[in-house]
Amino acid sequence: MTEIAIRTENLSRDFGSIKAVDGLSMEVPGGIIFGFLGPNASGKTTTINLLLGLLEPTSGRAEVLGFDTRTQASEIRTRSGALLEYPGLYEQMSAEDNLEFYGRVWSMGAAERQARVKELLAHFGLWERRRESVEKWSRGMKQKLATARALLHRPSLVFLDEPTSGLDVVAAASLRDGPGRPGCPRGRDGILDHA
Amino acid sequence: MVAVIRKGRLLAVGHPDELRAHTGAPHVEVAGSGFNENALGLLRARPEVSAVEVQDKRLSIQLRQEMDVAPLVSLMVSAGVQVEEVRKGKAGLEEVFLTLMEEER
Repeated sequence: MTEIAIRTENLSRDFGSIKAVDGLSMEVPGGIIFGFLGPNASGKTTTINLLLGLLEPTSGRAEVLGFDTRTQASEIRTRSGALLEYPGLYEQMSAEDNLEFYGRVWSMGAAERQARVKELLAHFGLWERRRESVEKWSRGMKQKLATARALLHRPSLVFLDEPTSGLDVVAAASLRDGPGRPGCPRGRDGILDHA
Repeated sequence: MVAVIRKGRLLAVGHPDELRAHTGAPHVEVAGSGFNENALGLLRARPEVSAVEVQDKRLSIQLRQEMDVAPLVSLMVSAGVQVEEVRKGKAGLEEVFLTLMEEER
């Protein structure tokens, strides 16, 4: 693990005349949970998208796990898990099949994949309903499944954008306990966006 | 660690306790009765106290810094206040955030 998980230098992103991110310079050490606090439209989600290499900065630069977000975005995304604004699940598929599918995308072996899927579904209280298609699930259940997907391949860094949005108190507590428990092994990093 | 961001600009970064210490003053909530003017005046005269406010049967004391509140409780009792409950509190992150917003304006 790199000593500094995230480094930004004057990172900026404009959308037309709007400065969504304005000269952001910071260093985030590895092995910690780091939270973004700010009102709506303050630039939190844009920053996460910049760090994942999903958006290009207008100016400035950022490194994540030692990789440049402009030129090495695929290296960053391989080593990261992300829960973004929309869960982006395959609604017609079951919860188990969703995670199985993504496990294959991450080239996880069958035994490891099955064990990890079971571990995460059980952790988030979804194991008993693993064979249901997720289209009729509540927003909170989908959020939990999407979080499980973000943690599936044991990423070095996890980005969670509004992770407790739509969750009830119990589910939110289960998620807060997650990153340091079965969800994410100790020593991993997390970045959370919270309005 | 927490970063506070507004309009794309970083306002503060640090451990929540550091941010609370920097931006949110500690306070003491007292439940009871008999919050008379004499007691309030004695509290306001203390250098550690920045503000005192009574609402219904609760007294809110804003402190300039962390301190042992036992002397304040003794002072209130000696001035005739019936103290039911005393609770020390730190600023929540929401309060820290609002303070930073105010400083930015």
